Amino acid sequence: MAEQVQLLVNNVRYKKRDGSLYMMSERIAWCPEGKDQFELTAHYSDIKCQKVSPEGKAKVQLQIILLNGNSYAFHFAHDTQASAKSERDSVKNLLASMLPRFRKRIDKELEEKNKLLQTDPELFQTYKDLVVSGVITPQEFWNSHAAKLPTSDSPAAQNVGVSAAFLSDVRPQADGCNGLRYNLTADTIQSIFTTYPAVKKKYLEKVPDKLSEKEFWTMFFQSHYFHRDRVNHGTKDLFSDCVKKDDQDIVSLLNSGVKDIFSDLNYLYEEDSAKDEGYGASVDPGTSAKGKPSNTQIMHKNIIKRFNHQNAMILTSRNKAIDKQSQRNGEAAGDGEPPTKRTKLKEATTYDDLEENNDKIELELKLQNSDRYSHGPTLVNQIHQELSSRNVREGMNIVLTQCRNYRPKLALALSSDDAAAALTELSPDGAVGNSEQASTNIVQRLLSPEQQSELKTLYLSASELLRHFWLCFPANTPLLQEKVSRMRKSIEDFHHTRVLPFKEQLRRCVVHANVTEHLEDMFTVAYKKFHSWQSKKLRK
Amino acid sequence: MRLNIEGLLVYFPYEYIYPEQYSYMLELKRTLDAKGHGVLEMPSGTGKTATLLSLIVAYHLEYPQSVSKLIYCSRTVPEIEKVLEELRRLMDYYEQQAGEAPKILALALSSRKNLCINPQVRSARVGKEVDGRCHALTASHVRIKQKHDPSVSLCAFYESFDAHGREESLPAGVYNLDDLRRYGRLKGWCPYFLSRYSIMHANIVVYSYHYLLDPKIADLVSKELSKNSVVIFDEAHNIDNVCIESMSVTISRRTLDKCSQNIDSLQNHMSKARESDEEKLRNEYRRLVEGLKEANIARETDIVLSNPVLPDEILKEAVPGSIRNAEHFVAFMRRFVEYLKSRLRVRHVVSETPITFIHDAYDQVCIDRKPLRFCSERLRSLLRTLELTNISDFSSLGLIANFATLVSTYNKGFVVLIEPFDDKTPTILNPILHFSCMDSSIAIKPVFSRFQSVVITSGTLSPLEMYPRVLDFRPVTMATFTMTLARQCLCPMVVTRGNDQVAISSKFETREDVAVIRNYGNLLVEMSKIVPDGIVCFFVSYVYMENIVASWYEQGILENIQRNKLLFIETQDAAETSMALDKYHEACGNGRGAVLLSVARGKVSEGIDFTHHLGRAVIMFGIPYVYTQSRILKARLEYLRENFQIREADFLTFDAMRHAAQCVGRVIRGKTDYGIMVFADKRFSRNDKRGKLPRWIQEHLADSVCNLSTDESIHIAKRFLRLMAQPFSKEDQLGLSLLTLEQLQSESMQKRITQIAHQV
Repeated sequence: MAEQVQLLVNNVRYKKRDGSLYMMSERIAWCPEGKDQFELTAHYSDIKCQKVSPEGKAKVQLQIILLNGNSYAFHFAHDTQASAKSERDSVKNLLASMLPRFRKRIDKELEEKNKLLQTDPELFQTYKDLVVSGVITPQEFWNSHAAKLPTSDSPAAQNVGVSAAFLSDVRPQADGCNGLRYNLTADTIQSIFTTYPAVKKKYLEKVPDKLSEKEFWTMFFQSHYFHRDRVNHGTKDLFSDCVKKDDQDIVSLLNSGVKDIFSDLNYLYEEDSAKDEGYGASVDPGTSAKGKPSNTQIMHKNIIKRFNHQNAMILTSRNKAIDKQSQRNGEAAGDGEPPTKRTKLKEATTYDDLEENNDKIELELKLQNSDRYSHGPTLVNQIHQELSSRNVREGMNIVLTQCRNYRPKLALALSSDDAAAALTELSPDGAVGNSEQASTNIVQRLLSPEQQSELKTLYLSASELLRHFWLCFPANTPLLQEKVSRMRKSIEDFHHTRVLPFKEQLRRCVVHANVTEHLEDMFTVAYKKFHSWQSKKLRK
Repeated sequence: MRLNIEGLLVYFPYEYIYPEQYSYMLELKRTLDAKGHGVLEMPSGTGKTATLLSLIVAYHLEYPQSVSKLIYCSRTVPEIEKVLEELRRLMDYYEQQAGEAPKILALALSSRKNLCINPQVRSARVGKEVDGRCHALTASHVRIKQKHDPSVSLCAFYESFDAHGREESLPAGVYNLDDLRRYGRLKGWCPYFLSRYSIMHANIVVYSYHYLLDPKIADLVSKELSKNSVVIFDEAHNIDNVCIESMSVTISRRTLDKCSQNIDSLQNHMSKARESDEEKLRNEYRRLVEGLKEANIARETDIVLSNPVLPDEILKEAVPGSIRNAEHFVAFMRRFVEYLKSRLRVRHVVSETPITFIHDAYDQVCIDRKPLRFCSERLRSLLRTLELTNISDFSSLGLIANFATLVSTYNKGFVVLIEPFDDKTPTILNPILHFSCMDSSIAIKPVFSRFQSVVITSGTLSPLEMYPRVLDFRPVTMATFTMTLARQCLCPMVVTRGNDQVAISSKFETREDVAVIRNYGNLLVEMSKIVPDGIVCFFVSYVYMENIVASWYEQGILENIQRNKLLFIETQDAAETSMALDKYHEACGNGRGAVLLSVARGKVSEGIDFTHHLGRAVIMFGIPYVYTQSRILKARLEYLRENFQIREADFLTFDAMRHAAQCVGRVIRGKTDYGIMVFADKRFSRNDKRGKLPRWIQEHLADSVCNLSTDESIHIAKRFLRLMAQPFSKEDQLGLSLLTLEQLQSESMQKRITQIAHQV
């Protein structure tokens, strides 16, 4: 086996048998004494965790627990307990360094494979065919497709921001003898440094030449700097210049201005020469508060200032890198007007919910014969013959001027409901208009209910037939041509077997109105179309 | 969408409309038809501006004779810019629908600070300084001087504008501040003066209140605006205070000292002038004999010092002989200043009417009423004659002259208050003379009487009937609109006690109570645990907030808040607050979430919106009563009671509640937005307080949420937030709070719409 053995430990007992433990680059294995085969192996990736026996126990043991729930306990049976322990610890340490690496890889691999399968349906299909059905193992499958997996160079880990409450996390605890104990962790120190660069500088200066680390932090927690409510008097304090540095920071921050002009209060209000000091009822604090503010007031102001600063620092510590980028994007255009301002204004003045959704699906008009579309139906020719081109133009002009001069008299306009009501009244079967022309509506009065329903069914079938008929055009395939002829035949049949008898029946019932006229018209048009098509075809 | 509003074709630049917008249009049209004034309260975030503009533009296009101009007054610069942006959208819509945009010229006017393109002047950044530098380059006498002495520098942009800018008018279109600057750069003209000149013939002017209400500026800028204009005061809930501010004067010892210095330097200049060119002073004298009519037609750049309301009769008279001579006038001013100094020497508080003040002045130093009236105008003329360029140096003298004119012109509605020391520091002598206006109708009266329609509108104007009373006008329409909602997206509640059942309140007696402060803190901590993104808190005053923050720091409450969110605090320093605000936005934007502690009546509460994630909850700690011990306020309350029959308590509650409403209203900026509004004070649950909230908030403030403990409120908030987190689509709104044209025209909807507006 070409695996590299990273650690070999002899005198390791497993299930009361002596043997040796091998730690390879990808797995851990145990081989009983006198044999040359591993009786037990476990991949690092399968190991969930390891446990060691507590200190002071007679047996020095190490237990590994696998993901599937199995566990193996190894007993380090060395001559002395110390040597056993040292061997155990070396195994433990190596395992501890190996496990996380594998765990991460496993998770990531799985994720990547999953993603690949989701994005590549063909691969997914083959995967399903081969792997799920058990033809090949997943391992084999992925070996052959390894190239498709993204190379596993891990991206830079995301920086964790600073917790806003990091200072309160180092709450002092009374140690019982009139002192305080602060628990500092590396994280907290890091947080303090990123939030207060001045402290970091100080730390680098003083530690460890002049002060020990412990002294430094003791002084830090004693300083006025940490206790933000105390007014700073003495200069003895190590951190007094940090306060000054912070103040400078604040000033420079203020001078740099704010990115978003809409949160700039100075921009907000109109300043005008007429609003000189002295006008207005309110006295500005500069002139009125000549009396020195009391100590407590200064203290309160100080707290507020520090809090603002601290929180701002926490915020900026996180996204320095991001900031740079966005700054580049947001650089002012030549006009001195940041481009973001315009978009901000736009944003502030649009109401999303009042606007039309833009994600409507637009239907595309598919034209197979664009000539016909742009020239319109041939019927126009008839009108052209009747009207001279001058007439047409004049008519157009009249319509145009009418359109242009059209002024809706909105004051007289009806509400849509009223208009609809009026329209129904005026329409043929309404209360007002009742002209002779409205033949179809007379149907109701002329025909008995049975006749009416029969007429309806006739219409339904006829329109279905006609629809099929017209759908065949243009009949450019033999299939369609055959269908056209067939349809025409069935229309004819329908005409003769259904419509004509119905007509006959009506005549017998002494109904004079020609209710089937429209139906027959439609048939005639269809016949005509068929004839013209047929003649054309014959001519070819 | 094209609408038919009682016979008027209105283009509304959206495909859908809120029912209240339609209703608002109806009311507004009726107001315009009647050529009267109106008070309209429309919930924030329901597209008030778009509605207003659509209707008025349509009205203007249909009846250009009766409504020739729209004057839109707003509060802050960003708001002004937003109005023009909405207008641009409307014009685009017209163009898209009708083929061409109507020939409408719309522009913004702002101070030089925002419009100047001269790099040297612009670099000053502070408003006053920019103005001063501009004067030094553009005043007429500077320009005359330049003709003889080429070394005097002028502003090229102004010169170019003066030479060509008036010949061709600005082409029709919508000009925002940036557009004006761009156009100015293109043409080489000064955008500020271009804009000031163009508002005379523009169809729509958008600017800040002060240009119309502050007589000092209005006199210069808005004096000649056409009579048949429609004036809109948007965000007008605070308009009475603006009026009062614009008419009040405060004089401290320092002002008077500076004033004496001003007089000295004026004297110097005069003697110098007398040596070199006596003719000039003599000319001035002659001019003054002829009367002030000429001063009235002073050229626009000579806004040396502005002028408080001058009654017309004064303008027709000649300047009285006693101050006609320049020396005499300076001596007169000196005397007056000395008199004021002597008055400031008092050891006790003095409160008197303008009449007694004038009488006293006459008795003490024989200063007559008549010359006092002319002070402001006289000083203006003198400064012009002496060709002083740095007029900003003479601001103190100008202030005193203005005070002299005001105190002698108005007998009523003002009070003279002399306080020898601050109430908080009674041992330190710091005498201040307040000349305080108590009648907000004085400043706004010319506006009401001149323009045919004045509409006062805002999201929070309740109780509506208060405004006509304090501003002294008769509206033809007064209406408040409700907000139609498909889901209840605002969750107001009154928290009256903490978990320990201790009542919470910001009232004076319990202010220092640790239990109350702790309960307030716990409320915020609990809220910060459950509310996503941004939380805004408002305190009643800076001092109160500072105290609470300090106690919270000691009690460890701030730490607990910081465990959940970042914390930013408003301060009295604008730059610092801007920074905090910017960081707050950033923290909300990147998902960390933040809490902003802020002050009612502060700048944040008035001008900044917290849309969507920037404000998911707002907590009002206490009722923001104004500081009632102030003598100015007391005088005003007394005046209101005597002249307008408004009881003190009523007015104070009205004032406090409109600020509270304004604060909590910041979080709701539209129907897709949502937010929790917590009123944390026992007193909010009383009917006299609750009843003064705008209707659209009151509607959702049921009795069941008016007496909650912290725990209960958290419970309600949790449920609300869970509900709001559900997806909300347009389909949910359609037909209820959002209408298509068809739905709008249906009969049932029309019936419902009539119920939206509540006439008062």
